[in-house]
Amino acid sequence: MDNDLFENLRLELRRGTLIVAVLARLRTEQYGYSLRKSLVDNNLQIDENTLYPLLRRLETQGLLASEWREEDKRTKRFYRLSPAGETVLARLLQEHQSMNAALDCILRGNPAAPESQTPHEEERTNAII
Amino acid sequence: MPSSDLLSRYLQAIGFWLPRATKHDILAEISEDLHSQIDDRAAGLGRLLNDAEIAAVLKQRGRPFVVAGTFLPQRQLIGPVLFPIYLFVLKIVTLCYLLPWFLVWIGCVAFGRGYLVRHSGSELQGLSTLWILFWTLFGVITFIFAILDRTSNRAKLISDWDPRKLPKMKPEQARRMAKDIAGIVFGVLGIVWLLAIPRYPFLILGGGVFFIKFAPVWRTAYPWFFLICGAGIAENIVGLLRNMPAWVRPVIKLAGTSLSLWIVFTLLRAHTWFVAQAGGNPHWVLIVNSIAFFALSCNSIILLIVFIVQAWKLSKWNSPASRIPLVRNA
Repeated sequence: MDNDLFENLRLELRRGTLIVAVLARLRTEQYGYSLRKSLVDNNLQIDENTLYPLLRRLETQGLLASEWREEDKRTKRFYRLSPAGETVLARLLQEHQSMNAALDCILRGNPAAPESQTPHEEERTNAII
Repeated sequence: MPSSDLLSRYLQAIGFWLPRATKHDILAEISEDLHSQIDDRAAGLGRLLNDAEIAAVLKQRGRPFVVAGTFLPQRQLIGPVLFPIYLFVLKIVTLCYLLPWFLVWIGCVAFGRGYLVRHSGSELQGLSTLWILFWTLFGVITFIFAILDRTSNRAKLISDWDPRKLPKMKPEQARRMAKDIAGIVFGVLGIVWLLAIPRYPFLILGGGVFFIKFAPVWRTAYPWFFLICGAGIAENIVGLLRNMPAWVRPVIKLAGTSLSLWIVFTLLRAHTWFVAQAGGNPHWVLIVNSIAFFALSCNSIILLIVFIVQAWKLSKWNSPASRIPLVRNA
């Protein structure tokens, strides 16, 4: 039971970070398998059944662009960050740094929190929808 | 080649669950990934993978329908916006419609089997009707909400509201006081009514007074009715008094319900509640006794539920959360 709870919390914690990591890694063009390997090499474990649907979702959202191309006699789908993806990635990294700083403050017991990044009502609405 | 056969079968099984428009694209990507994995392992081993090793790769990837499911959009019948309302409607329907019917069925099974068999064939048939009714209502409500979820403007539903248009707070103090005063008045009227019944039995029997009269069991129960009325009045008086410990009222309420429950069970054991007047028609007496039996059975079940609810509330009356004021005055 405790393990299940931890696993759920861990997944929740990882979900957002994985997106940032994938977007950041795709500043350089890669195909699915090589992307996964490079993430794993950087100690970021990601399941194929998470990565490929995520890539498709990010592409549908316009953050990634992809094309099928032949390499080493095999046709592979290469992904790279789109211009919109670059903008979003920059903002996400800023948000990530801000959250890390806030978490550091909290863990150190320092009451002076960095500037608030509370999402707007509209964003929350969109998230629910 | 056996290994490609295994892979083809695996991809085919995944493809079964995928939408036609994106099926080939997704399968091509999965296939490429699996081939890359297999090639990598083969390179590591310095030989081709055998069937068991390929099967292990596929097993690690997951069941075909699970893999396919990760590529499908997340679907829900009723989204989080409408779900609380949906749940609320289901609760209302269950409490106000299905539960009463269920209680009537229990009452019929426990005390009036003959009635049930006469009207619906058997106890099981009555329950199956109730069961069908439950699923029909559940299905219809779910269907309506699923349609609403797809057709309503959710963004508008979430953002288009004004806190100033929320219902006004009920004047709790005044409402409680009015309720307590009404409780005392009706309690006193009830005692007067009880006192008058032996002399004027038509107050309870109506026109039936000409052909039926009370069975002796009522003589035993009669004094206890005064005690129930007294408990009700005492509970309302306690409600009006200030500085009274908070536990007093729920305790009196629970005591009153326990007493009512005991009286109803005592009456139920009697089996005969009305007898014929001299020259009265025994057939009418039988009908009236059947109705009384049915009413007492239902009453006992309802009282039992009330008793459980009150006992539960009493156990929670002093919880820390109940003592926290929800709104602090500025």
